[in-house]
Amino acid sequence: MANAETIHAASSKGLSRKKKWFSYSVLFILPSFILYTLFVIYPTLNSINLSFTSWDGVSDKIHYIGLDNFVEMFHSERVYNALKNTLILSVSLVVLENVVALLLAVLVDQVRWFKSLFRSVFYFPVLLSGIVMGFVWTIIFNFNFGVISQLLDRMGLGDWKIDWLGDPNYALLAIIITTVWKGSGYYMIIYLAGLQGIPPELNEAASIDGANSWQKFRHITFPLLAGAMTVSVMLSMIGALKIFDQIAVMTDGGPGFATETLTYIVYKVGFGELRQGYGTAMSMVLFVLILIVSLIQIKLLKKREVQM
Amino acid sequence: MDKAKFRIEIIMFIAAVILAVLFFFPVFFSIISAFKTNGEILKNAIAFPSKLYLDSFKYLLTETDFPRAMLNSLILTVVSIACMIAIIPMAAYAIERTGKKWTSYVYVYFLAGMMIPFQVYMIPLFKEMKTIGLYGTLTAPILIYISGSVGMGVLLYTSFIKGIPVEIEEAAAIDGCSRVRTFWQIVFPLLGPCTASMVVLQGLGIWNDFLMPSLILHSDQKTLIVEVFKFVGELASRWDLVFAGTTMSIVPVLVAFIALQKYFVKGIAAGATKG
Amino acid sequence: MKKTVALSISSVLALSLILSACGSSKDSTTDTNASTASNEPAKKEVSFSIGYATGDPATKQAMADAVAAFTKANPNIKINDLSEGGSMAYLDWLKTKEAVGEFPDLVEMRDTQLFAEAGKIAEAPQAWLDLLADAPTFNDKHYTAPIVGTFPQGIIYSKKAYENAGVTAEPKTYDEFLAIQEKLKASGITPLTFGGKDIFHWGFWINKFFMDDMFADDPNWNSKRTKGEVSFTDAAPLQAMTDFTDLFTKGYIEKGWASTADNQTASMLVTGKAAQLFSGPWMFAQITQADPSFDYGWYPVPDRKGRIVVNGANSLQGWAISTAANQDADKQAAITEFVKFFFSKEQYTKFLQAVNGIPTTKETITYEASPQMARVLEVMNDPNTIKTLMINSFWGEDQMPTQWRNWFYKLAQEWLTKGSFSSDYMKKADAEWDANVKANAAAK
Repeated sequence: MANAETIHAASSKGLSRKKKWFSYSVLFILPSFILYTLFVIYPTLNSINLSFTSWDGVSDKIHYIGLDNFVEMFHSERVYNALKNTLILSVSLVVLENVVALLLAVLVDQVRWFKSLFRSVFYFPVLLSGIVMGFVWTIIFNFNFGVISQLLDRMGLGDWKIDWLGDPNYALLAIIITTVWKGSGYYMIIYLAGLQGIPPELNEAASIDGANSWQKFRHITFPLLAGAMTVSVMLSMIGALKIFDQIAVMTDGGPGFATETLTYIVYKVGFGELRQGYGTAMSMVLFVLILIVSLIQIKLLKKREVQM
Repeated sequence: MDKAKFRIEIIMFIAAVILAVLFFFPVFFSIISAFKTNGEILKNAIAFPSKLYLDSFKYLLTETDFPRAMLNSLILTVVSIACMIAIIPMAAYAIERTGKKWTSYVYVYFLAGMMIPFQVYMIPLFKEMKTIGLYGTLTAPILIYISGSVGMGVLLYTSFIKGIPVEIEEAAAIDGCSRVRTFWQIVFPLLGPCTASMVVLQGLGIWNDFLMPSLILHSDQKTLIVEVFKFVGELASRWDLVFAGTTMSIVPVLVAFIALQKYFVKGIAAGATKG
Repeated sequence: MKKTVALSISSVLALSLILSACGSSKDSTTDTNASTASNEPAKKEVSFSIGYATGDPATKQAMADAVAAFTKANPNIKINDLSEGGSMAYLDWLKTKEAVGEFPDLVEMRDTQLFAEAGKIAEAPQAWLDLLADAPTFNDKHYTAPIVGTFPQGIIYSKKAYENAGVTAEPKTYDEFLAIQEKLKASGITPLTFGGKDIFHWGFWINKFFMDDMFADDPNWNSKRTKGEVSFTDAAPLQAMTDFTDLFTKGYIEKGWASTADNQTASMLVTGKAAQLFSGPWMFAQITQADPSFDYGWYPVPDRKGRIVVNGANSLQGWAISTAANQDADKQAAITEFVKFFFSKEQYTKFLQAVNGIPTTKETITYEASPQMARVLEVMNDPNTIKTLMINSFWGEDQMPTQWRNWFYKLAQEWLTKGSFSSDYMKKADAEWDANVKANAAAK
């Protein structure tokens, strides 16, 4: 964080100035501090508190039930299932989004014509709402009238039609496809920044030494992208843990419970099933997961900074 | 040698074109479908519209709350961003330049917020909003957006301010500028790229947000995305109208993106590498 | 120093100005009252809000028409129609409205017990009850005025598809019904469409079997379940869900059931992608609108004992007045005025005709029913028809824990997509029921 070098130290003339400087700092920080404390920290602490209650979200009365919510949660198949889905989704998304993003970044970096047009096209889905595009994909995947089904019908391959969102074997895959489509462009930009930071001399020198393209990628580009990759992997991991919009609009957690994730049941149980105490208890699991990922990220980034 | 290199370039170009078609298809599909009748979409989803059918748009603009929802989204986004820019850089500046123990505690306190997912504090937050009587007003989401962006914003700004030489401010101080003026007139303009990335990242997040506004706002204050979602459920069988709705939500973003492309890409890159 | 403080105060002020400028526009509806009707000074200006379920387009339109007709006749009363469509379930929508302080003054109640117990709705005024033939009570109190009689579900079938498959008569037994499905399948058409994307659609078939096997014989099954005297693993519920599952495993229901929305079922029917739909008479309007020349019939599906069991008993659903509105004498009078208008012969006839509804008023209402609707009314008036309710419509001790329904429908999706049904699922159903009952009791 901040170095101790401040203007105050450079131009201080006495105690009154020091005091004044202090009050300025407080004044500058205060608005952010108040809002943040009131609307992030306070409700978070409250959430921990509510997770020990049986509050239904409507009633004025709140009863403490100790650890009952947590006990119920650890015995609940539905919660395990959601946790399992969350992990499957996170791992697949992290791998796929980063592979696709790296591929796109290399392509955009190397392609000779229309570089910025390609970059824009790959990046554009990032800007769109998960709800809106989730719905467009729902129609693309629709069994009876969807684009994929219509194409297969026209090719005489009607038997190959799949009810993507209605079949538990494919529903999660459909959500993964949609999310990779929507998210890869973001990580592409990170890799692209990394690629552009590699001095061209390195590659030139390697060429003179007779290295082929793959060797250059393997021994120069890839190691130098490690920093970009750390950031990108962590961001995609956190994004995947929080995924909500696509599920809400594409499957509503279904068919059955096949695509319920942690974020989704926190909402579903809390609002739809009138058990907000139980919902907040579940959200604590999500909190812990994200906390772990964030701490690992900080650790890795710190290590890198030291190396550099 | 050159011939081989050229061949690789052609292959790469073709690969890029194929991927670009795949990536653009869903957007292209919703835009062409918006100009087709429901029957046309059901019969032949990927064909171009036989003629420009505009009734869906007419219906949306006159019979539904779309215009109003768009205005609401705009108000939420603009006001929230303006407030963020008004308070967050200031706080980051004070933290970075004071450099005392207590400010570094404040810094860590702010950063902790980045690790708390919204779903964790959503339920008590709504309860709190109800208690102070803001539930169901546009003020509530604005406050939530500002507060939620403090962590990320402080991180971005402090790391950026670190790179600005202190001498500039010292000169201003000697000229008798107050701290407030020094900040707004001298430091703030230097933070341009950082502010741009804040506007882009947070602006998109707010414009596209769904869960919170869908739960907290009155029926006459729905945002565009909430309206589209409502609409999708109500008219699941009227794909013509649904696509007109999605197109209307895509186009403003598309236009903004084309106009401000440079900032978008830079903003994301800065936000990501610093974040 | 002074200058800075002044500056920051003004910036805080500016900030709060911005915030208050974009604050609630809730009050805008009351402002408009002042502008209307100056030549009728005798009548007081009143406004109230209304909320009803909008899942079915015909009902939504008929409601909106009733509101418009009433405000035209009573210019001093303004009605703020809060109803909106969307994929949110009606209960979730009402809860959200309640949370943002927009609970409608006059509200269509479906989960009457829930809101009555929470103190959100008041007892129905006597003037409402005087209009009605029969309205059931909860805790010996009247809370609702039933808007229409409970809609029975039945098979809506394409006459052409039946002809092609050589089906000539309606089934008298459940086995005959299954034989028809085989014939349809053999003729090359998908027998049944199913709007499985919408969770409420699951209630039609699932409850058909629950009613046949459980509620027709034992209307207090739910309370016995709560007390632990009966179980979902008993023979009757097992039989019910086995029959339900067979419809899918035997290939009677379309392959895309999970992605077909309820309001797409009409187009599945008229485009000939499926031969039949199991739903209520409100679908008649949608079908006719989708294709006016489409020729179709309706019949109730008999149970395994050859009885006709339908969803058709009186339920607690209907118009209710909110506690808040009930305390405001002017509002209460205006709302009562509207309810009287709604059930008045001329208006109610129009409404019933539009939604293919069954009247609930004392005054007899007759309207020119379509042949299909005439058949529905015939079944409902037949003394041999056993009328009962869906699992979620019972009240008092027989109330199902509200969360259980959608959870169970999802459970059904799970066993259907996994391809096998077993009593293990019914054990889960028992466990979930008990857990929900316990959780609801703990929250009180």
